[in-house]
Amino acid sequence: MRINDRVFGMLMLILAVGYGWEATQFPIPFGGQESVGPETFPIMLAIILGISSIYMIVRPDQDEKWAPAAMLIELSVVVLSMLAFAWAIEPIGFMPAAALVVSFLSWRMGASIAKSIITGVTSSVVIFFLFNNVLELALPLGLLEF
Amino acid sequence: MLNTISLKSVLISSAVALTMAGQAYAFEPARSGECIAPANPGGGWDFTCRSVGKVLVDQGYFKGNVQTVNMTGAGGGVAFAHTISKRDTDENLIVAASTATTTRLAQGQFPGMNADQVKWVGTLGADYGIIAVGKDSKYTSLTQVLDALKKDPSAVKFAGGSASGGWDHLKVLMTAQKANVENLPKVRYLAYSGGSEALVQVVGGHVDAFTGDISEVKGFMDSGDLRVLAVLSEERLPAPYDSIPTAMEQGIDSVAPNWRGFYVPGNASAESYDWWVKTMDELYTTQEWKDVMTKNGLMPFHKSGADFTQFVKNQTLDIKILSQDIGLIK
Amino acid sequence: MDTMSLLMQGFAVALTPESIMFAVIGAILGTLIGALPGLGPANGVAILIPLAFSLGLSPTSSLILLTSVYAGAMYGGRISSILLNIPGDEPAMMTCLDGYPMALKGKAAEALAISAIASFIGSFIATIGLVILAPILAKFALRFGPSEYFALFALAFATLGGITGKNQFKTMMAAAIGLMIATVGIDISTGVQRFTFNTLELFEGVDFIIAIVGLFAISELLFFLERHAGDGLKQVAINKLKLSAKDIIKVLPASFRGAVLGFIAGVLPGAGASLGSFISYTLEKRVSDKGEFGKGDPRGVAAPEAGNNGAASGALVPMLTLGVPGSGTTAVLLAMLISLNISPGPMLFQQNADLVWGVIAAMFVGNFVLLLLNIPMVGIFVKLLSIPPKYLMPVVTLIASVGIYSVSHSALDLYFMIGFGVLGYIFRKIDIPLVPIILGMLLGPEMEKSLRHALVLSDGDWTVLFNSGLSIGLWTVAILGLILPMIVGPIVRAKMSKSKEAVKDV
Repeated sequence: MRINDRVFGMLMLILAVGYGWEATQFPIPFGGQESVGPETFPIMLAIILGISSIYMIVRPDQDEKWAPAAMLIELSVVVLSMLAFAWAIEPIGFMPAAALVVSFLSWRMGASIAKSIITGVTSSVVIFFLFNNVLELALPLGLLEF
Repeated sequence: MLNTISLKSVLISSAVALTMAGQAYAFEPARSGECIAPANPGGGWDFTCRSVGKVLVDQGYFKGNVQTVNMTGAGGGVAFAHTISKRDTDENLIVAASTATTTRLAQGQFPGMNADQVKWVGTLGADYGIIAVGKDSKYTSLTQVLDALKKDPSAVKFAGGSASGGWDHLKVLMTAQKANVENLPKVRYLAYSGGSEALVQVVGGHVDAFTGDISEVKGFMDSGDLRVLAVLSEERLPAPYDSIPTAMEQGIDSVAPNWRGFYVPGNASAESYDWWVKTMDELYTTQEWKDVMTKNGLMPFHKSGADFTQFVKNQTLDIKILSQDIGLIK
Repeated sequence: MDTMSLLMQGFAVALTPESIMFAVIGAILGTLIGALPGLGPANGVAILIPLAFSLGLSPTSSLILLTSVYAGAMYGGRISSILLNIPGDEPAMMTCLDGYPMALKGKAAEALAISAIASFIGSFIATIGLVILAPILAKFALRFGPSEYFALFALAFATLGGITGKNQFKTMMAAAIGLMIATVGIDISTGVQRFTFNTLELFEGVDFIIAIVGLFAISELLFFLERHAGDGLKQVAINKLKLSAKDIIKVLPASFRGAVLGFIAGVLPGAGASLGSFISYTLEKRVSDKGEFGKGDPRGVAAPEAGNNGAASGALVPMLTLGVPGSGTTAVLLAMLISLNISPGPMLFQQNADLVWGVIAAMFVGNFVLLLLNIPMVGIFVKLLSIPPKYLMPVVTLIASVGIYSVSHSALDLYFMIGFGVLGYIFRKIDIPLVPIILGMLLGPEMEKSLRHALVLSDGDWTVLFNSGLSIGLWTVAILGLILPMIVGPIVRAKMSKSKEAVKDV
């Protein structure tokens, strides 16, 4: 199968066209038109990306095997859990959020539930104190703030 | 019934009165304070935060420490938005600001935000603008540069450390405007990501002239590689800069101080604002701060409270009018 | 010689117990910070500046501490490259290419030891270079105007083809994507917003640290999960260090070449350590054609490590002599110097001779400290591998994201990081190399700026790009770098197979 490169090439070609079009829409800068304006470099890049994506569509490489559907769902769940972590740092605080996400990840990677929780809690507490107290980079306390 | 109500209202009003009285007495800062530097470690704002934070602790205004938090983005816009949206009542927070902040506010580069949304505390010194050329340049005075610009606005090319339309660029335009140079948008300005980068290009002879601040040029001035044509201050600066003529001496009424100061959140209590204003006034007179200023090439420039708020208003308006005049903004 | 006596005075400063103590502390902290993915030398130095202030250190002690942290971070970056295939910081990116395959072959300890030795050689040679050449190079760097810079960046991209993949068009695509990401933000030359969609957080563009952590660390986590479930796990084998004098001698030429190239890249402002390690690696691959590059060749570890450490010291040349930071880290160091009332620039060597030479001497001392620390520590680092990945990977991911969050305090940065992780996963599936993306992001803004400045200065005349001997020289090398491999490669390969047959015949 050589479908991957074709599909990806198409997507990149769309990106190149969209990006290039957007570049032509930039307002004319103060001082009037220059021989090289804010749009020149982006348009050059859009052309380069366009050429290489057309090449990919025309001469695709052999596909690499994709993971089975179950695995892709698993990976999506992992990505979602990380997004949730990023969202949760401020409202619930760094330590609870980090403990949850690390425990979840190591559980998904095959550790037992008890050991996952130990890993999550210890690592988040240690990292919190390392950053907050040793390196003096403040992390939010969230729920643990009094 | 009536009695209970009145009793309640009396109780409430006296409680309100008490709290108000308590607040009016004095604002007591928390153990630790925070200073947001709206840029990466190493920039001017970062320096302002770290050095003021240190003096605040040394002088006993804070028992704990004053932590510098770097919050990069949009030339201060991210920190400004953060302050008005998330920290609007935080009384232990100050945010570093400078002419770059007012320039961006004036040009509408913080979309939907304006200078009235925060309270302006005060300045703790300023860095004055300069215009300089390399040692082999044919120009020996500011007047010669401006005469050349009058003949052809793109005759002299300037390099500076701010983005196009930023403070370093505006300094050139303001000066040229005062000298009646026409067609200002045609004045060529090359934007570099830092003053020193621009400076090297001028010293290396690749660009004609440098626009920047006095603190940036000391090294090359001492070595004789750079000729400073004018300093944009009211009077000559103290030694070792006293040999540089001002623009005013050369007949061009252009003054450009790049002040360093702070604002606090817009809805922080009046008491905490007064405390910060008073603290900055006191801090400015300490020997420790004077030493910091001399070390870093900062010149005396102090405004605070209502005075400073008015100054910010005027400066924002001036920059807005200038930017509109020359077509930078619509 | 005058320089010698100044250097000797420097050693008098650097060899006091106090100075040695700060060098050791800095080296340890730096190695630690460098090894953590997401925290690089720039963060390391920035984080420790407040510490230096709060301890009230003298200028000399602060600088010794911070330069040791800087050097230590450059050493430390390789550790996670080799053991986890995640670069500890961006200059260590190239070390992954051969370091991780070595570790997979059960030679993790050797890779760490070789890279420590190469790092030492890189730093040592570059520091000598700093001593001898600083004043001359300061003048040379002044000759770089916009057209010369543009040619230099073109050179960097021309040699890209040498490092990755078989499909050159995919390399080109990757570089274009990186350059495109770099165009997001307010255009510095005109103030026009490009691809920001009025999002305040995008006004200053996308930080490349976020892209690095996302593309490398997060995508690695996803790949790990997938492999783990599929055909079993490729576990990095743990071994005891077995390094003979012969092994060391074998990588010496690569280390020396890398050191010199890295130093040159470091001296040019804006090029920096990433370019140093990058060029060192590609050149080494060209020079020693017979090697097993990309599959665990020790020289593929030595060259980039010598290169990035050489560049780290080289970057101090423009910073000390011109006051121009050649990299993010030296920018932070520069700010530190300025706040210590020392104005770097052409006069620094005259005005603060004792301090400059003290720091240079301290760099020699720090280097020995780092070498002595790093060889015995190989064992400890390798022990890290005995921690099962199911515990290690989530924690490393966490540390990487904290590194990003603590500097910007923005959840959006983390969303971007995760987005880059997913992209990285897809790119790797489609065989699009990741290194050119990062290089594009790093060099893109500088490259565009140089092009536009050159054309403004020439009033729109494109021939300005070839108007000096220096720029013509750079273009020549760039074109050679692009074309030579296409012509010479097949010839050399044909010759090699012939000579192999000849051997067989005999």
